[in-house]
Amino acid sequence: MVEKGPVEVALSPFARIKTRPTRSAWDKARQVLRQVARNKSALLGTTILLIILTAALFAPQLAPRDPNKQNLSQRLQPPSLRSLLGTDQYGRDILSRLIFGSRISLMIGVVAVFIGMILGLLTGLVSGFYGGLVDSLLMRFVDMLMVLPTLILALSILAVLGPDMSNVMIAVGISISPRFARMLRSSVLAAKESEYVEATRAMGGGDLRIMFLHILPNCLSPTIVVTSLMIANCILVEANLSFLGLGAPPPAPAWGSMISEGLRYLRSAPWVSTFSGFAIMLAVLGFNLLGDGLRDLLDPRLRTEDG
Amino acid sequence: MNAIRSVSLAIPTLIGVVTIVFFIMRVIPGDPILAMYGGEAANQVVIQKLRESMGLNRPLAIQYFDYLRKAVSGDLGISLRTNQPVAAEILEVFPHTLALGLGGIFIAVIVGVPLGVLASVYRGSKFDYLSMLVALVGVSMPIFWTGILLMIVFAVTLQWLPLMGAGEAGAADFVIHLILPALALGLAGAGWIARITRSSMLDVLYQDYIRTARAKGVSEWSVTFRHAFKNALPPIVTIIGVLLARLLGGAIVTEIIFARPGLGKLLVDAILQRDYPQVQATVTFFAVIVILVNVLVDISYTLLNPRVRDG
Repeated sequence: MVEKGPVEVALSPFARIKTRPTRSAWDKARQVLRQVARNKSALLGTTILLIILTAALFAPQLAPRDPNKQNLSQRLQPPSLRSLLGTDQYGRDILSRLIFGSRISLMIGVVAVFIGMILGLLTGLVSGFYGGLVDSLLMRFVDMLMVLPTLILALSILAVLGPDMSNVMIAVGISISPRFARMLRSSVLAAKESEYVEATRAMGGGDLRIMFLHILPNCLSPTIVVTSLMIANCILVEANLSFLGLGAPPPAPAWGSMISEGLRYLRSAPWVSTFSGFAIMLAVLGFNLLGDGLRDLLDPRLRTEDG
Repeated sequence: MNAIRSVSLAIPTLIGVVTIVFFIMRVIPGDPILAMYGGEAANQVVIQKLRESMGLNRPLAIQYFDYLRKAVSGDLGISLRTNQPVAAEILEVFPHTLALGLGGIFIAVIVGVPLGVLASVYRGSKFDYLSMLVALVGVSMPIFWTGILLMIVFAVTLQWLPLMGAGEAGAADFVIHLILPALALGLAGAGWIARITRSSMLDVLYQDYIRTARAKGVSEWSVTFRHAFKNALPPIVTIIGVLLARLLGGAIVTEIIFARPGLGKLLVDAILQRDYPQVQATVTFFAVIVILVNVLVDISYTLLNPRVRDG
C-alpha cells in the first residue's frame, strides 16, 4: 500500500474500502481454508503435499542413510527391513535418495514456476494494459512460443544453455511463461475498464502505479489455480529432463535420473526404477488435486456447474 | 473459407517459430562449431574451414535469410555428426514417431472418451469420483514411468510383448512392437480426454433440448449418444489436437525408453552431442507438425459445428 495524504483519502470514493482489505483478506483466507477442508480433492492434495514438504524439509533427520554413500557389497539389494525400498547399482539406499530427491523436485518446480510467473505476468500485464500494437506483437510472440510443446521448448533452451540445475529452472520457467501471460492478459483486459482504475487515473495515478498497485492485485486469483497446476507440470517436465540426462548432474538424487539409472537393471532389479516413478507421480498428483480443488473453490461458475 | 483463414494465419506463426528457434540456437556463446569441438583442443584450420563451409562467418542477418530461403526448399542444413542432410534424417525416422503418436491418440480416445461419457452420465456417483481420480492419476504419471511399469508387467514378467526396438520383419512385427509404447503414451492422454469429455458432456446434458428429448420418451442411450455426445464433440476434438502436440513431447521419452528410432531420439542425441543444425531442424519440424494439426483441428471444428460452418 502506498501512503496517501489526508486530502487524497477524503477525495477517494474508495478510501473506506482501502482501509479494510487486511481484515477482509484474512477473513477470505480463513474462509478458503475452511472450504479446502471440505473439498475432497483439495484436502487430499494438501495432505500429499504436506507429506512431501515434510520429507524435503527434514530430509537429513528422516533419511535412514546418506543418499550418496556407496556400498558396492550391498548393490541392487531388493527391499528388505535393512533398506525399506532396496538399494541401487552403487548400493545406495533408495529410500534415502527419494527423500533427498524431494528437495530437488520441489525446488525446481517452485523456482521454475516463479520465473515463469514473473515473466508471464509482466508480459500479460503490459500487453493487456497498453493494448494496440504492443499487445498484438507480444501476443503473437507468446502464441509462437506456445506452439512448441513445453518439453521440446525446454529442451531447445537447455541445448543452448547447457545441462545444469539452474539452467533447468530457467528453461522450464521460460517454457511455461506464455501460459501465465495469456491468462493474465485476459484478466487485465477486463480489469482496466473498471471504475477503480478510472478513479485512480482521475486522481492522477500513473500507468505503473495503476498496473502494479491496482490492476495486478485484482487479477491474481486465477493465478493461484494456474500456479498449482503449473508446479505439477514443471515437476513432470523436470523429471523428463533429468530422465534424459539433462537435469541435475549425478550423483544428485533427482527422481527422473534415478529412473533412467535403473532402466538397465529392469530385469534383475525393477525396484530401482519403480519407486522413484511413484514419488514423481505422487508429487504431481498432489499439485494437480490441489489445483483442481482450488479451481472449484475460487471459480463460482464451475462450482455450480460441476458440483 | 474458414480453412483458408486458418492456413493464412498459420504461415506467419510458422515463420515466427522458425525465427525464434534460429535465434535461440545462435545465443550459444562463441559459436556452434567451437561448442561442438570443445574449443582449444581442435585444429584451428579445420574449425575455420567448417565455419566457412557452413556460412557461420557471415553476418547473422544474412545467415538468417539464407536459412529461411533454403528451408522453403526443404534444405535444413547438414548434420555435424553424420554429415548427412538433416532433413533426410528427419524424414527417415518420422514414420516411427507418426505411428507412435497416432497409436497413442487411438488408445487415448478409446479409453478416455467412454470413461468421460460414463462419468458424466453417472455424475456424482462412486464411479464418477473413482474414474476421475484414476484419470487424474493418469495425467500425473510421467510417461516414462508408465512405460517402465508396462515393460515390467508385459515384457519382463508375462513375456507377451517385446521389450524394446521397433521391429524389423514386416507389418505384424511393427504393430507388436508398437503396442507397449503406444499404451504408455496413450494412457496419459486418456486421462486428459476423460476429464474434458466429462465436463463437455455435463455442459450439454443439462440443456433444454436434452430435457425435451427425454420428455419425448427417447431412450437414455439415444439421449446420451445421439443428442448429447454429438454436441459435446467440438471441445473433445480440440483437446485431441492439443493432445497430439503434447504427445509429441511425450514421444521423446517414450522412444528413449523403448529404444525406438524417431524424432525424439534424434533430438535428444543431437542435443547431447551439440549437433545444432540437427536440433534446429528437428525442433522446426516439430513446430510444423503442431501448426499443421492446429489447422486440421480448426477445419474439423468447422465441420462438426454447423453454426460456425454456415455462419
